[in-house]
Amino acid sequence: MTPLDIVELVGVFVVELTKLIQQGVPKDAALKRIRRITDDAATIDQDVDQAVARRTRP
Amino acid sequence: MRRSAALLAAATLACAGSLRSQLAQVSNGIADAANAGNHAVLQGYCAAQMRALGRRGRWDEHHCLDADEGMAPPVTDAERTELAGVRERWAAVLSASERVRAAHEVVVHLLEADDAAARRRILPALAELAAAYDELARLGRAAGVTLPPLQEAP
Repeated sequence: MTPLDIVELVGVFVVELTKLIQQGVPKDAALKRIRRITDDAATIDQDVDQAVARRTRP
Repeated sequence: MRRSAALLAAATLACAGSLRSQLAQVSNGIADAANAGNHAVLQGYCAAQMRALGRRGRWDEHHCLDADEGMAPPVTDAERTELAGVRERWAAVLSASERVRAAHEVVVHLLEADDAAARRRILPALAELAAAYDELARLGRAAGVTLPPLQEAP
């Protein structure tokens, strides 16, 4: 392998790598989400407040 | 020589595809752990509030139910004070859970975008997400809730 071959190899590799970066990679995996917790926490507060109200002397 | 370069590029493509797939698996694994953790947090939050009132609480995915049967006596001032304290202590856990969700949304957006800029940001974003989860696990432990451990990256 001559120095010229190496330069050519690196040059072709850089071109291919640039194409790869521009194209991106396959989007094959379904991405899961984390459920928001704040609404459920507010429901708990409300349920407990109602329990307190039921147990409050008139 | 061009064939070698093409093979090298193809191998890089395979590695890149595999890397994204692995990052997506990591992201999904964290989502699974966080969702399971959220259930434990909500169960703990419900139980802690009801315990402050001298009752056993149960979170059924929709409501915080009083698991004890029969009438309960009127709530005392001490119980109201205890209830306020529970809410104050758990506010940090709930905030930490929201930070995990927000950090995970960033990771998902980067995986969906999958452009050069996103690929540069994905590893720091995953590190932030893992740190947010660790903090949630720490605060959860302090409140008596054990969150699922994160799986090792494949």
